[in-house]
Formats: sequence, C-alpha cells, structure tokens
Amino acid sequence: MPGAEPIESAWVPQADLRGARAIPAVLVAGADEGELHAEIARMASELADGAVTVTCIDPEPGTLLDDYTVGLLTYGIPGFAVDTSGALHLSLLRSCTGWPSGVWLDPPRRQTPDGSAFQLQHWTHDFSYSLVAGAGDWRRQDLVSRGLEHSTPMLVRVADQHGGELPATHSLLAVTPEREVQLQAVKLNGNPSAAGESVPLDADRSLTVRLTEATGFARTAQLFSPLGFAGAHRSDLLESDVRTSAYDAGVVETDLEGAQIATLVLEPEGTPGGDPALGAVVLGVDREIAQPVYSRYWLHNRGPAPMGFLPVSVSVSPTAVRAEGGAVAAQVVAEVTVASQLVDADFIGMLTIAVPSGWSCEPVQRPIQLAPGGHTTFPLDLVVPEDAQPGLSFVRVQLSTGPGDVTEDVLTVLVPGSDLDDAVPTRTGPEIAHEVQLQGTTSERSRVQGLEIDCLTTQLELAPGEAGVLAFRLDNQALSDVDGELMAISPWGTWDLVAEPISGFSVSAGSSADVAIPIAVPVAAEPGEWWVMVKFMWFGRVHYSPAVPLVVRSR
Amino acid sequence: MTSDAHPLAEPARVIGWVDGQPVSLDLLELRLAVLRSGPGAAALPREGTQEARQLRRWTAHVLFTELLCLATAGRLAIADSAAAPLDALSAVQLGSITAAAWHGCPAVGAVCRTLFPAAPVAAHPASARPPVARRWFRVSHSLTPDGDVLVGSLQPMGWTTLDDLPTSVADALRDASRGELVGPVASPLGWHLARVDDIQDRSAPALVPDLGDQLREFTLWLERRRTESLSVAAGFEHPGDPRQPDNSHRH
Repeated sequence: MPGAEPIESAWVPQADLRGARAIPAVLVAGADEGELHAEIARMASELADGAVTVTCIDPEPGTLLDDYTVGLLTYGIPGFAVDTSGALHLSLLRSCTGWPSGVWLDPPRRQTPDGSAFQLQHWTHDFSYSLVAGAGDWRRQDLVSRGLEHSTPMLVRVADQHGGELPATHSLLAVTPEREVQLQAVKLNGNPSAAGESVPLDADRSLTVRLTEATGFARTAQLFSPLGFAGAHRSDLLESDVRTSAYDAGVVETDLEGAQIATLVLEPEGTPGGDPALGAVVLGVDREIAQPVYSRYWLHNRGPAPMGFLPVSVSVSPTAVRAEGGAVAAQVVAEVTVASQLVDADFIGMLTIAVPSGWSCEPVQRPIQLAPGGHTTFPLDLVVPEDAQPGLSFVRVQLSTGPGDVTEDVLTVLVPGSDLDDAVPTRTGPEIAHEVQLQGTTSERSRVQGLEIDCLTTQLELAPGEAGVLAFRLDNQALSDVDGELMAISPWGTWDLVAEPISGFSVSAGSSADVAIPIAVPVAAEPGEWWVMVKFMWFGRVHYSPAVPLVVRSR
Repeated sequence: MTSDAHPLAEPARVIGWVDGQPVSLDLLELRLAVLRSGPGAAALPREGTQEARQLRRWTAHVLFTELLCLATAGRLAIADSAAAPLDALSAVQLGSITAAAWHGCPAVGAVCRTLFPAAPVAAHPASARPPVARRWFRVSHSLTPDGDVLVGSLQPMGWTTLDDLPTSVADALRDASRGELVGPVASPLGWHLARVDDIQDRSAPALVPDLGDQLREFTLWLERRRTESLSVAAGFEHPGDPRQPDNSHRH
C-alpha cells in the first residue's frame, strides 16, 4: 500500500509517521484470526530468503526503486551518517583534546614538534576507499566479504621462480561456501597461560577455528585441508566446551544460522611436517625482550602484563625507604612476597637479592618452592653501614622464573646527603587543586629520579632508503646499576621506520651510556613529517624524551 | 520510597518521613553545617553544584538510616552500647551511607548486633585446641649446579617454616638440630647444602570471626526497613537513584 506522498518528502527530520498512510506499508490481512495467523506465518517463512512477494495496489504517488546497491568500502573510520538528501558523510579522524589525552601528565611537559598535543595529527593523511556498485542487495554484492578484502589486503612477497611438487595454488585450510562463510581466526586449541597452566601449547594439538556467516542467511559450511581431519566438534568462545560433533567420515561440516559466529575445534589427521633441518621455529617474540622483567609493570604505564602474564611474581614492600642511621648503621626491614598462580604444577626457582657492596642483607639467596596457587612472605633485613655513601641505591629482589627469565622488584634506598634527596621525599607535597591538575604538568624539568636522559638528536631528516639513529645519553647518578626497558613511540604510518621499537638498556652505577635507536626509511616510503619519541622505564620510574621531528624527504 | 505528596507534606521544612514521623530539614542543615565546618570541609563539593546536591541527599539518607535504627532500638529497648568501629572491608560491604550511620550513631551497630548476633567461630575440632604453634627455622644455605659445595659459602637465608623451600631440602632440614649441616641434597635447582642456625616455635594468629554473614543479614533487614518505613520528600531521593536529576554519569 503506497504512502500518501512520496517517501522522499515524507521521510524528513521530525517527520510524524504515525498516520496509516504516512509511508508505504505492507498490509497482512485474513478473514478471521486463524487466517490472519496463517498469513503472518506464510510471510515469515518467505522472509527466510530475504524477499517477500506482495501485490502492490497502485505504485503512485511513490516511485519504484531500482534493485541496485552502492557501497563504499573503507579501511575503518570513526563514524558515518547518511542525510535525508542521500549524501554520505564520513568522519575521517577523531582526536581527544581534553583530559586525559589532550594534556601531558608526566614532567617534563612534552608536545609534538609543532607544539600541539599528541592526539592532534597535523600532517597530510591519505584515505583509501573502494566504491562498489551492482544489481541486487548487499548480499548479492558480497559486501561483507568485499569489505574484509578491502581492509585486509593480501600479503605479497616477491619470490624467485622455482620447481617443486606443490601445485600453483594451494590451501592449508579452506572453507566453503567461499565468501559467504568467513574464516575469522585459526589458532592452536587452548589458552594455557590465561588459566595458569604451565604446559605450553605444542603444534600437535588440535586447532580452533572461528567461522562467521556473512550473508545473513542459514548456510552449511565445510572445511578442507590437505592434512585431512580425524575429528571435529563445535565449541564455545573459550574453546573448552565440547559440544556436538561436526565430523562425519572425514568431512567437517556445520550448519550456521544467518550471521552466526561459530567456533569449531579440528583435529588434523597428519602434521604439516616441514623441513626437519629447520627445527622448531619460534614465530614472533615469545618472551620479554628487556630482562629482568619489573614485576610492578603497571608503574611503567605499559599496558598489559608482561608476556606469559607473570604466573609467578615477586614483590618487596615498601618499595622506597630513607636510610637515616646517622652515626650508626641503619636497619631497614622490608617484606618479600612470592606468589604463584600456576594451577597444575609446583613452582621452583631461586630468589637472589643484590645489595650494594658493604651492605648486609638477610636473605641474599633463597630457594623457593610453592604448591599451585601458593604464596610465601618473609622478612628482608637490610643493614646500611654508618659510612654508606650518600645517594640513591637499588636493592634488587630477583626471582628466576625460567631459563633466561628473571622477574624482579626493587627496593630503593636513599642515604640522605646528596643531590638526589628528592628522589625519596620525606612526605608527599601539598595537594594540587583539581582545576590545576586537569591542565596536566607545566614543568620543564623531570622529577629527580637518579637517571638523567639527554636526547642527542634534534631532528631526523631522511630520504627513502636512508637510515639514521635516534641517539640518547643516559647518565646514571645512582650508586647502583640500572637495567630498564625503552620503547620508541611514533604515530601510525611510521611504524615500519622503527624496526625494533622495544629494547633493554643498562647503565652502570655512576656512569654514562649512549643508546641509539636505528631508524630506516623504506625505499617505497612517501614523504611526510611526523615525530618519534622514546619512553624509558626502569624500577617503576618513567621518562619520556622530547618528540623529535621525523621528516621523510621526497626522493 | 516515594516522593509523592504526603498527607503531612510541608515541602519547605520536611525532608522525609520515618515510620510516618516527619524528619525536619533543620536536622539536615545542622548535619551539613557540622560537616562544612569540620576537618574534611575542604574536600567537600562547592555549594550550588550538582555534587553538593548529591552530598545533601547522601547526608539526608545517613540521617534516615540513623532514625530508622533509633526507632527500632526504642521499640525493642536495645541499649546504645558503643559499637566497634568497622574495618575497611566491612565498611565497603555496608556501603558509605550505612557505614557513616554506623560510626555516627551507636544505635545502628547496636541494632545489628542484637538482631543478628555474630555466628560463633566454627566449632571445628582443630579450633577446640589452643592455636597451634608453627616451628620456624633460621637457615643458612648454598647452592651449586654440581654438588661441589663448600661449607664456607653458606649464606643466611632468613626465617622459614620450610613450607616454601624445595621439598627435598625441607625434608632434610625438618629433623635437623641446631647447627647441624645438611646435604648435599638434590633439587631441580641443583645441589643444596644447608644448616639450621636457630629454631623458634611461634603461635599462630588467633581466629577472627567473619562479619560477612552478619552484615549481609543486617543490610537486607535495613533495605526492608527503608522500603516499608521511609518515604522521602522531593529533592531528597537516594543519591544513587537514577530517577533523580543529579545522578548522572559524566566524563
């Protein structure tokens, strides 16, 4: 039943659409209640294929629309809206200029080279889209799979021509119906580190795959692999539940509702094999680059827990003390706690405590064994001799948690009388008014932390194909060695210029060390102006370098 | 709780009704004046702001809670004995309004204790005996990968119950006497050599009764009491009531 006026003039802002003929409507009618219910059921069953056939009394005054779809495929944007004129509005960038992203909190105040806050991105941005159109609705146009293909371009490598037995086209895992059912994820089954299990995944375990139905209609998915399957079952998001079998005589098959997200666990029949000469290849990074790992990682404003989620951790409390013995030796009493969240194995490891020479400590080393879920707390008795040199020292409580893996907490001890007395203040300063706090820091100096960090590079200007370094001088004013972690931070679009953004750094007690971070501009890089800064983290302290201009010249 | 007009409505002077009795606005103003002249005054929200109106509502509900408990205490002739201050966990379990009432008015704790007496500490067979003393060992220790250990390399390890040491080392030390050298003993870490330097028997800490069940029952009772016997005047709704205009979540 057509509307009283064309839909284009009825469908306007603030429209009152309550009238029976305000917009076109489909009327479902029956002579009595039973017939009406039968008509509704018939229409509902027709909807299963997305189209309902109805008789139109009189298309006037409305106009029939063409069965045609236009889509804009994007790389991902903050938002969009279509207005009543049919115009499509796209928001391209979104930046927060208020608290907390628009202000800087850790002294000294940092800003981008043009003086703006770090969420403002005052440079040229390229946006790429694909405009697609064709007959039929979004399903016939495969918009879901075409969108995914646009935003996930195929990874291409140039390889030499070579012989071999493998076919020109090969698929280790394939799903049908192609495009209508999407393979979203493939991984080894299980998440041992999330549950505190000590046994790592091995490649012989079953695979978890996640499928999504992309057309909105029920489909039957089949999975294929040259390895063959020995079994498969449906599971849940956590991959642990074993539901019904999806396997029958070598075929893995599952029914999907429209838009269903399904998790399957597959048992491959064979193993990929591969070249035994290569041995077990570790893909990616499997342990923290900077060792030892500081156990109070949150103080480094570093985001998630270290790799492996620290199932066994060590802490010392308090973390900072002033040793004020005066003419006599100062006694410092702290408490060490080691806790295990492993669920299936005892933890056994060695705890060692490193103190400055001439100081005495009990314990200096202690073997630890903990039952699953166990913990222990014991005192750390430290004696700082009366002739201890004034300054900042670090007592390092280190727990070996695996081959090459050390987790540590650090007790900072200040012997007053040096320039670093403010590193362990006697009391907290006055509370800063809320309105002032909201403005962020205005300080031009960093806090007294015992490690002075000078940026030796004022600007990096490189042509495509050229390489340079971002250099720093680290001056350790403390009486103990410092081991920390650095991370180079730069905006999206520059990440492939910094091949190794994370590394460890070490500076011996009372000495200086230079740190250089390689910056290499790919040959195919586009010219532009960005910035790069480095965040230094050690023993619960953080220092951000200035943001150094990073300029890629045109060739 | 409703904010509909009450038969005794005197909007300007009454903030609510407890068991049908009007609660005077003067009482609330007095409370707020005490708060605003107290040591924490600097931390209170400025007058005229949304937060100040929320503080006003919060204080009103502390007052209501006290009056509800006072009425019950009067009816049941419960004596106002000073209640023990709440520990941090119990205060969080009760919520800020009830916790503030507990600390401001002895009747609140007295009603809780009388209506919901603490369950006796579980009569577990073990607790019938006096607290068991734990044996602590002060140990010196050294570790080498190959068992080639020198007694001179022993270093103090501090006090331990032995429960956190490698099982083999703990088993060897458990029966050792003071000054006795134990080892070399193997563990996954290597070879251990150890000596007990001192032994102490320390009593275990006394059991603390769990307040959780008692406070839960009290909270449920208080909720029932509020539903049945409290009505509030417009403007004095609970600060967390989503229907009142000042309870908005903003960034």
